[in-house]
Amino acid sequence: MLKTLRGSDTASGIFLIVVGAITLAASMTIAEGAGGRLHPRTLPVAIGTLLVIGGAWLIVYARSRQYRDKEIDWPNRAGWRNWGVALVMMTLYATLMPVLGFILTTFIFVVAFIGYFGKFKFWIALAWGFGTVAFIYLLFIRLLQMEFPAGVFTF
Amino acid sequence: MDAWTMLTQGFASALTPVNLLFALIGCIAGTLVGVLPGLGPTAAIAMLLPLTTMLPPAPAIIMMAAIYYGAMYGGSTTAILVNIPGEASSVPTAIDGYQLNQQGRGGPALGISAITSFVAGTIGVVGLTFFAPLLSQVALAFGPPEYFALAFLGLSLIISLSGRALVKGILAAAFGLLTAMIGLDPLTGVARLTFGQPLLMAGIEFVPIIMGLFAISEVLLNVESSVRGILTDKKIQWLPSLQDLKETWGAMLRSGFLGFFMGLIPGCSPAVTSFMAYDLERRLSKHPERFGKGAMDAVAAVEGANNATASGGFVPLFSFGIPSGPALAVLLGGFMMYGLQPGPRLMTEQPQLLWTIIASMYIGNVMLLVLNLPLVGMWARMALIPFPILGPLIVAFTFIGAYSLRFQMLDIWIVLLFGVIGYLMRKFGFPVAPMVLAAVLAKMLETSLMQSLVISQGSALIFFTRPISVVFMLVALFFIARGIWLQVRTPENVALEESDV
Repeated sequence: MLKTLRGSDTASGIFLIVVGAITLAASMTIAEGAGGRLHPRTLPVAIGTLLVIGGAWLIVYARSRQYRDKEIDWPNRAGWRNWGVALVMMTLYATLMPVLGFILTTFIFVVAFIGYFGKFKFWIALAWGFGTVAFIYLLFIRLLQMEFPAGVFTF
Repeated sequence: MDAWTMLTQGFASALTPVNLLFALIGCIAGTLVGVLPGLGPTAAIAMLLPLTTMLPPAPAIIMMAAIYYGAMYGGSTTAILVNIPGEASSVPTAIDGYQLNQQGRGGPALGISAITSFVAGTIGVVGLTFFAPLLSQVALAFGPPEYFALAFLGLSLIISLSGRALVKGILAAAFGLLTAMIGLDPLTGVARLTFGQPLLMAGIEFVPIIMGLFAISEVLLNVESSVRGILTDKKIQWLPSLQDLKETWGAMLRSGFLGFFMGLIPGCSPAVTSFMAYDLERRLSKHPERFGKGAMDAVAAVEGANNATASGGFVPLFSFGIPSGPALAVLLGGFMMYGLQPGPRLMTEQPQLLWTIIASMYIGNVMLLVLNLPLVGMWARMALIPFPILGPLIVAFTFIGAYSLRFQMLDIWIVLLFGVIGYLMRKFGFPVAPMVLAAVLAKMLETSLMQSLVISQGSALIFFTRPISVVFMLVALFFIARGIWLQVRTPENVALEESDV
């Protein structure tokens, strides 16, 4: 677990080196285009290099003596649970959207979120769910004629 | 006839009931469009364009123009209230506006935002009225080297936006630039960093990135600490105090002039101007340490720059028929639908129409102020909604905003991904603003660099041999050198002088 900024900077440095290395590797496969003075890979290579060097600098500096360490304000156990539940809910919302349709998944998401985090009575969560999808339907779908994933129920 | 006489005639026409009605409809629609994240003025004008064909040209164009500058008024609302900047230009507003909202000062921040929008919008329209032909020459002087120098100057702001965490800020900016490199090369059309995925050919839009970094990460931060509401104290201040106005009037005027002049440059987005205005105010402020923690003058600077840029954009449009951005390009399409071609000939052949539109912009600005100030109280009360109810609404509207850009699920996944990245960046002390700024500027930077090198046959000296670009380059280099010098010399002082955002 990354308890302090020293650890997080080291981890960030490793992450950035990996991203930079992948960028550099992918840049080598970029074909040459016609009409330009700069090869299309020039900027990606420059950015990849910067990420690798910067990432390495972060690691070195984090390990140096002059580094002023500080604890990261991580949540407690209940906070982590809430964080995870919220992220899973959002991920399911996005995953199920093309399957069940935007309106239905929005309704389920709003009701589930309010129900879990709000500890309100079920009918309050239900009312907010209905109100939200009614507003979205009237404004975005009917008035502005925007199209959202319809899903298997085609609405 | 002189400008005064033409303007008087324009007012006579703009004040007819039909023109007033359509200006009002445009202002209301613009405010709504601005408030809804993701739904920008470009899409709104494009959607309404076919409906306006049944109208005479004057009310139709008055309405479309009002949607455009009205959207600038509403853009700050969600940024201040729930930390959702619907557009890149609202990012600096979100940084300080949301902090003010958490301190129970969301109402005054919204009020200052509306008043500043009015002041800056009016500065822009006055400039348009009296100096359009003169100032439009500035727009014509801008070629690729000047655009590159401008983008470079914009990127140099990363130094001050990073505050204490300079290296982290530069790395965040590099990451932002990297996201903009994905897709087709702007000059040659070669696919880059797409890993064979056709979906990535069209690139990654920066709006979902911004929404994820701000809105979704905010939701994650709030649920982890079981926040019951953005504001739990029921005492909400609605309107700005005289002290607030006194503290911000300088920022309003400065950002109004800066925004107007930047708006003259075709392609200069309000996002660039708003970051520049934010940085300028921080440098001039007596309390730079407040920036990033809830500075009212920061909100004023950003909103002023936003609105004045929008007004300034009408100068090249009316003078030469050059649209400054996508929304004005659609508006240009509106002119063409009526067989009108904005430019020098429009000024001589259709002066009545042109001055009616300009006069309507003065009226529209007043309408927007009158419309928006009473709404402040209603919007400010949103902060009292319990977070478990507000949270899912933020997520749903963020997803709608992201999806409506290209109608692709990919953009929703980008929102989620950058939500987690934004959460980790905040925990790990990486400033978010440099990443946004770099992602916004990347396309302009790269395209203008490539075009400049084609013009100069590969010589980078072109940036130092043209008067406008050399000034921008030197100012940018000065900012970079000063920022690095301050970091190296006395990091502690930098920390005091410039807080990270």
